[in-house]
Amino acid sequence: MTKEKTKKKINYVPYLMLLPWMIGFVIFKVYPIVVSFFYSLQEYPILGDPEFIGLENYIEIFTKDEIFRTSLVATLKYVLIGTPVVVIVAFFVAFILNFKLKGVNFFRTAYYIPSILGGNVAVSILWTMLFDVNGPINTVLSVFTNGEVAINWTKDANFAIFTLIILKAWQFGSTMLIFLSALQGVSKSLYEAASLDGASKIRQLFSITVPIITPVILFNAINVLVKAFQEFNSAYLITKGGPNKTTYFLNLYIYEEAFQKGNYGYASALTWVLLAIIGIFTIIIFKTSDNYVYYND
Amino acid sequence: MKRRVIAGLLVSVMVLGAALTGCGSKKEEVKETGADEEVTISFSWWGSDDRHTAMQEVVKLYEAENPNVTVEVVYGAWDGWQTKMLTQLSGKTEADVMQVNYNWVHSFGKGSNVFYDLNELSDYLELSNWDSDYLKAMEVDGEQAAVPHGMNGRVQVVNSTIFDEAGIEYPTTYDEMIAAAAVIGAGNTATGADNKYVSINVGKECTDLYIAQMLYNATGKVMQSDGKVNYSEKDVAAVFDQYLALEDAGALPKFEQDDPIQNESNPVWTSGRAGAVYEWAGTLNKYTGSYKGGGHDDELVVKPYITEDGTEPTVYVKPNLGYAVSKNSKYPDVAADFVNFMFTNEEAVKTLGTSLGISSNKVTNEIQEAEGMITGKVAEAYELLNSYDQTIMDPYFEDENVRGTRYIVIEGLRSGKYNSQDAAAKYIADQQEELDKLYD
Repeated sequence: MTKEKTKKKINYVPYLMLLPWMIGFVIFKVYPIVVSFFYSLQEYPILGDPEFIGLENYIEIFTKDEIFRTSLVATLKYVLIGTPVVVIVAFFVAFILNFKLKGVNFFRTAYYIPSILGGNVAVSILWTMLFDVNGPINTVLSVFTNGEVAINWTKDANFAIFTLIILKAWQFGSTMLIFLSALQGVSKSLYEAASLDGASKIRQLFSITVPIITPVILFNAINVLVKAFQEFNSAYLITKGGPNKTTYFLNLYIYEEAFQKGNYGYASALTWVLLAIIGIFTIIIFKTSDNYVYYND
Repeated sequence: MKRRVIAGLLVSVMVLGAALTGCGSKKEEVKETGADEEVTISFSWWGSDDRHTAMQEVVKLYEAENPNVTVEVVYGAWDGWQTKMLTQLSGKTEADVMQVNYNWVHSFGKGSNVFYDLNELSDYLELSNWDSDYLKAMEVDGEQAAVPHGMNGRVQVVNSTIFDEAGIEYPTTYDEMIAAAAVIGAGNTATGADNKYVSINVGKECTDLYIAQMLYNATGKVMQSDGKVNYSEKDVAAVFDQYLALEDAGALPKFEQDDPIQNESNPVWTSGRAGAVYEWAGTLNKYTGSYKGGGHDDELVVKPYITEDGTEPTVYVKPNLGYAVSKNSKYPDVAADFVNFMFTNEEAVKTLGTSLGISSNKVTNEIQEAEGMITGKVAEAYELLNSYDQTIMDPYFEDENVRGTRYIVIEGLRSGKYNSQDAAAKYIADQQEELDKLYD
C-alpha cells in the first residue's frame, strides 16, 4: 500500500482579514513598546542625539529622584483608595438597580452618563466649581457644621487627592454595567431556596450573590486598578498635579518629562517602571485570587 | 510557509518602523525658488483671537503679492502649544515658519540650534533691521536660530479705582503695599469670595517672575549667569520672608486664596477686586480687555515697579517671541521672505498693529510710530520699561527643567510645606543641579 501524502490546504482568508489590525497593532503598540525600552537605556533629548547610558535612568529613578517617590506615593494612594471605592460604589448601585424598581431603565442610563463624559475639560470645570472653597459642596457641608466648613479641596494637600478619587467614583458607570449583567446571571432559584431556609436579604447578598460573582469582581477590580494607575486627565485638568505634587500621578510625570521637558529617555524609563508596578500588582491579585474567587465549574 | 509569512511581515513592519522614525535630513544649500514655481509653505503661531485674525490677514496680503505661494496656517491658544511644537519638531512635521518663544530657541536643543540658521538666509531676510544685541538674544551656538519680534518685560497694570475708593495712593514700596492692604483688604476672610488685594500674581510663571524681580531688587544680581545661580541662601530666604509677609498682610493672595482660574479671566481681576496684576507689557491687552470692574475708561494705568525703597529697579526683559524657519523646509528662501514681509511690508505691519507688542525691528518700529500705533496701555508699558535699566534674561532662565524647580519650591513655600530657610536652600540647589546638566 502506498503511503498517501495528504497536503493540508491553508486558508489564508482569516489571516488576510486580520492583517490590517495586526499591522496597526505592531506599528502602534508593539513597535513603540519595544522602542521605548531601548530609549529608556539612553539619554535622549527629544530634539537631540540619543546616547546609550545603560541602566543610569533606572538608577536615578530609584536612588535620586525625589519627584518619582512623591509621584509614586500619590499614584499608590489614588489606586489603593480609589479602586475599592469605585468597585464598591459600582456594585452597590448595580445591586439596587437589579431590583424591579419603577423607572429603573432611566436610572441605569443616568448613572452611566458620567462614564461617557470621561475626564474632559467640561468635567474639570464642573469639578473645579463644585469643589471650590466657596462652592456648592462646602455650602452643603456647612449646613451640618454651623457654616464652619471651608475645606480647600483642590489646594489643601490633605484633600486634593480625594477630590480626584470622588470624580473617579462618580464615573462608575462601565463597572456598574458589568456588575449588573453579572447580577442578572445569578440563578433566582438560589435566592428562593435561601428564602425558604429563612436567610435574610443581607445574608443572601453575602452568601449567594457576592461569592457567585467573585470572578466579575476580580475582573472589575483589575480593570479599575490598571486604569487608576494610568490616570492622567483629572490630575492634569483639575489640580495640575498639585498642591505640592500630592496629585502628581506617574502618568502626568511621564507626560511632562517627555513632552514639556523633552527628556524622552528618562520618560521611557519611567514608563517601564510604571508598567512593572502595574504588572506586579496584577500578578499579586491573580496569584491570591484562588483564595477568594469562586469559579462555578 | 507560515513562518516565512510571519518573518516577512515582521521585516516589513521593521522597515516601515525605521521609516517612521525618520532619518536625519542633511541640510542642502539654499536653492532659490523660481517666481513661477507653485509653492506651499506653512506658518504656525499661538495667540489670542486678535492675533489670529491679524495673522490671517497678513497671510492673505503675502499671497496676493506672491500669487505662486500658498501659505497654510496652523494656530491655537498658548496652552499646550509648547508641547505641540516639541512633538512636531521631534517628528519633523513642524511648519516652515514658526512663531517661537525665547526659551525654546535655547532649551529645545539644549545648547544646539534646532532651527534653520537664518544667517544663511540673509539674502531673503534683512537681518540688519535688528540691533545686534537683540539678534544675539536668539543666537544659539553661533547660529541665528530666530529673529525677535520685540522685547518684553513685566509691568504692573493697576486698577486705580480700588485705590481711589480706599482713599490711598498706589504704593511704591513693599512697606506701603502692606499698609495699603490694611485698608483695601480690611474685610478679607481666609478664603472669602469677595476678598480684595493690593496686587495679584496669576499663575506659577507670574509668581516666579515677581519673586525673581524682588531678588534682583534686593541683591542687584541676576538669577543666573554662565550656568551658576548667583544668590546665597540668605539672599533668597530674606526675599521669601518678604513675599510671605506681603501675603500675610493680605497685599497678595495666599496660596489657598488663589483663584483656580489662572489666566486673564481670573475673577479677582475681572471683577475689579485686585489693585494690580503683574503682566508682560506686550500682551497686557489681554488683561485690559478682560477687566469688567470698570466705572471709567482710564481707570487702568501702568504704574512704576514696587521696590524695597521706591528707587528705580533694573528690570528683566526678553524677546517676547520670534520667528524661526524649519530645518526641514523645502522652501527656506520663501519662508525667510515671508518673515521679512511681516516685518517690512507697510500693510502687513499696519494689519498686525500692536497685537504682538512693539517691534524691535527698525523698519517695523518706524511704521508703527509713523502710523501712530504706539499708543494706549501697551505704549505706556514700554515707555515705563524703557525708562529703566534692562537686563536680558539668561537663555536658561525659563528652561522648563530649571524654572520647574523654582515652581516646586515656591509652591512648597507658599503652601507651608517648607519654611523660608529650607525653601531657599532647595531653590538654589535644585536650580543649580538642572543648570549643571545643561552646561555639562
